[in-house]
Amino acid sequence: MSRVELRSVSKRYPKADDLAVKQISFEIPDGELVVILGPSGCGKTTTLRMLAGLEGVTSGEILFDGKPVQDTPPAARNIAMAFENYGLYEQWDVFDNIAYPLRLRSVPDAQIESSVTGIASGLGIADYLGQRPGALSGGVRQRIGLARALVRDPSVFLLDEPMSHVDADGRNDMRLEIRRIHERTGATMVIVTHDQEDALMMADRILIMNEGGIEQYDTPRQIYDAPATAFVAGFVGEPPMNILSVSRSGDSLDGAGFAASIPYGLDAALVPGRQLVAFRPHLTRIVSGPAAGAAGGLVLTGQVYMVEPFGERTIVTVQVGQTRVKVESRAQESYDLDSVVSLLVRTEDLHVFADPAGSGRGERF
Amino acid sequence: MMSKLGAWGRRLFLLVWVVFALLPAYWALSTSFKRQVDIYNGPKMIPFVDFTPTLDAWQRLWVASQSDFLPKLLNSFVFSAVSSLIAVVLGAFAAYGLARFEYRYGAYRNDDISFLIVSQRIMPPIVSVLALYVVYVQLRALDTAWGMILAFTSMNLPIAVYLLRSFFAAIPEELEQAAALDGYPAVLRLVRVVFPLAAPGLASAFMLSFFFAWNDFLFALMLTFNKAQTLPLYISSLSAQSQPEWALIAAVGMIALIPPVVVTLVLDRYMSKQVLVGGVR
Amino acid sequence: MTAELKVSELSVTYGDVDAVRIDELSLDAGEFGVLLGPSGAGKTSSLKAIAGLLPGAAGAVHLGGRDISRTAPEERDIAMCFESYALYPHLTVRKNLEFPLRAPRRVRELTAQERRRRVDEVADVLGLGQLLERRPAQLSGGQRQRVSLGRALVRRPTLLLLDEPISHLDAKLRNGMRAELKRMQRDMGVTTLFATPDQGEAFALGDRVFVLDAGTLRQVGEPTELYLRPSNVRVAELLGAPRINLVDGEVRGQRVTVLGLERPAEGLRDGPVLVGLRPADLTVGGHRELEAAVVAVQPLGNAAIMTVKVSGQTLRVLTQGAFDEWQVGDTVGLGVRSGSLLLFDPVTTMCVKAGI
Repeated sequence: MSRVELRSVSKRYPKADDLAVKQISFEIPDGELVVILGPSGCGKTTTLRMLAGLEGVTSGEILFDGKPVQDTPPAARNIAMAFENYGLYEQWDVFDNIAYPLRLRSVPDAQIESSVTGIASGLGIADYLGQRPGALSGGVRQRIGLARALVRDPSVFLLDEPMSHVDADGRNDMRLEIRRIHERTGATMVIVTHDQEDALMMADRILIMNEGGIEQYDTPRQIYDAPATAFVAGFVGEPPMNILSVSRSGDSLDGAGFAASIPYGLDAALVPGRQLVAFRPHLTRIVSGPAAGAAGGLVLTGQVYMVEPFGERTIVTVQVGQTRVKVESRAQESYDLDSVVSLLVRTEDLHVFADPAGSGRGERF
Repeated sequence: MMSKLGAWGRRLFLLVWVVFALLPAYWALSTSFKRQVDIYNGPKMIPFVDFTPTLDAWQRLWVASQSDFLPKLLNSFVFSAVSSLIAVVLGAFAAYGLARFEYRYGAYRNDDISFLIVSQRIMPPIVSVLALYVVYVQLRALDTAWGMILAFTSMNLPIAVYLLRSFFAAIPEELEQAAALDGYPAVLRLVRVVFPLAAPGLASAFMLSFFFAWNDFLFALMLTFNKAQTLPLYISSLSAQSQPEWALIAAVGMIALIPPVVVTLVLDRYMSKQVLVGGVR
Repeated sequence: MTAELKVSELSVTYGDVDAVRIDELSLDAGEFGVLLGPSGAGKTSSLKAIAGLLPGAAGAVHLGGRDISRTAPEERDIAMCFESYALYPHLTVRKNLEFPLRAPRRVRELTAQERRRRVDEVADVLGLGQLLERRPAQLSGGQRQRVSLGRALVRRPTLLLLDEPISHLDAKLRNGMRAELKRMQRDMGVTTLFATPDQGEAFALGDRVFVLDAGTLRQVGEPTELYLRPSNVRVAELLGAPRINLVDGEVRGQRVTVLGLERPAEGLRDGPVLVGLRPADLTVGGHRELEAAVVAVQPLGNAAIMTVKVSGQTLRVLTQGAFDEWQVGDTVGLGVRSGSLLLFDPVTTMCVKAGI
């Protein structure tokens, strides 16, 4: 069990122009499960590898239980790591793969038997224990790697995208299982992923990284309800938050190809000049009839770009000026394409962020 | 270990290594400018300090060139280049077949056929060349250009096939499928998509074949006696005297270095390992 | 110029194994069809067989009334986007996009000027304008996917086959591209068949969905139809996320009993029955029909997946609303939305009643 702390840790790769990780500091209390979430290239895997000791730290300190470990080799740090690309021993069967770390530590056979079969059933791979990894699918192989990391009793578990190759159904079960294992062992766990559902479902706290820096470090609830930056707002949530770049002029908010009157109550939150207004698709309503501005919210007008009916919900994409806004509802709805609609978002569901770039962010992916 | 040396340590290490590797070439070069006396009283390393350089050997080479030296040089080059070209072209088609199609001749599958082809090179050349001699006598192929080219091609073809098969196999089949759907018939697909992507393999196969043929001594010795002789034979004939003219031999050796180096330099730009990146996910 | 697709008796064999056996697959001209199936179901094999890329495939393919079953892939006027993108790495983006237009059978159709203009058009629609001189190695995943799409569209094919084109993009990109793809297809009107393992995509995109499992079609129809009235258990499992709950129940006297719940079941004989309950149709905090013990709560933003135990059976519930109202160990009352039960014959797996 370990408390993990990073102090002003930076990483620069040789011959790189800038830092992959920029002076980040954060602390993980003993026994917590933290998910490091971010897009590809944000530095999350680099951070994990530095925690493991697989990458050197360019500057800063890493401490386990108050002791600096940034110069300690990985084997001496008492960590267990599961990799995205499995690292399995092809010549051994699955049982031996998972048992290996225990055998290295001379754990008695009876205990190995029960630990391995326990972990394997928990992850749904008990049927494969006698086979070689070679012929098994990517999702199963990934789970074997995970089992091998989890079967030990280390200070810190490090998991690098542990479910990226597992399909949607299996992922849910695995998220549950990882949480169960966390509860049972009480170990400190750090999990890296780019899937925000993984983060929301598993984490005690989520560390959101972007371009080498930390955007927000908070509980899933806080991150979802109160995103600290526009990046977090746009990254967490499925579908992601709608983000509009607007500038305030007099009584209205002007955006790319549209304008809206400032809703009552929002005035105080706005600044002169450009800023970003964000709101969740499931808190956006399509209204018909006279503009419901009087109801106290932001009203936007646009044309229906596309309707995507899912079983449990419908997502309507509305073209507002040059931006596309998504609306999510639980009902089965249908709209004619290109028909004109009005959107309503209540003032209390709006978030305002400063626009650092000074120019609207074109949402072209 | 390298990391423990530090940057300067690494440079020193590499410098020593480079000197070690290039010393023979330097030795030959400097020897070509020495007088016989200096060669026997050696070892002498630095011109104007250890010995007095002279253009003697080079002048003699120039004189001997037309009648003796140049024809042999030309033979070497033509035989090596042409045989390598044929080996690579024929080998490419065979390798492509082995990489893409599934052959079955009785119990023989692709890997068996591949092994059959490669096994031709397992036999020491000295064994095969005797048989070749007998056959060549019958065919009146001794001391002919086409006989030598044929011999070199047969020597290089197995290597070309072996090398190219894995290069072709590494090209994702979906690229060819995409080209097919884009409207390209089979041969055009090969030319426009497969060969450009196999360029490193084709270049490597050509270079390897060229070097083997260029350096060959045995085949030239056994299968030629006059008109079709190659450079290694010429060099050997120069040194088979009681008082060999080492400077002359060194000069010839230096000239002999040039074509392979030129071939390498020309083909180097095709040797990118990164050709396939970005094509498939 | 688009046309209707008729595929019949399609079979793909690898060695002695029948990977795919499809009796019939048809699309009207301009229709967006989705081939939905888990990985390994045979989606890629089916698409490649239709394109004529698999020598081991048999069956009849008719496009616009023309029998192309024996035509070479070069001549079929079918375009395909591969899951791996299959971009030509040695060519620039512009040359990649131009490649189909320079094929021998097409090179005389357009002048060099017109080719350039066509490429510029497609690049514009897909937002590739700035990338035309780059090589695929210098592009991101999303950009490569768009080049792959552009290459397929540049020659205005009669049939467009898409093999999981957006599966490997990150969530945000995927969301955006999905709507864009649908819009583009509608504007261009080209007959399209889209393969995916993601039931959400099938819903969002498909005019008609073909559910493929282990090489055979299980059901064909509109996504909502398949969701509300699946013809068998497998189709019910493959559509809807989280996966449908399947519980044992019993029919007696034209009433079905499951988990202590009773509903009318007219026209059914007595006997065991498999009952399907969708997680989204189990409601919490309102109507109280079942007593459930909370086993796990997985928060999801504006909803949560709750695993509960009812009468010894484990069920998943998709809740509406806040995260942590319920803790493990709590007892909650569940309601079952009326009309949402699906009954299946446990032996044949066919659906015997829907909408109870």
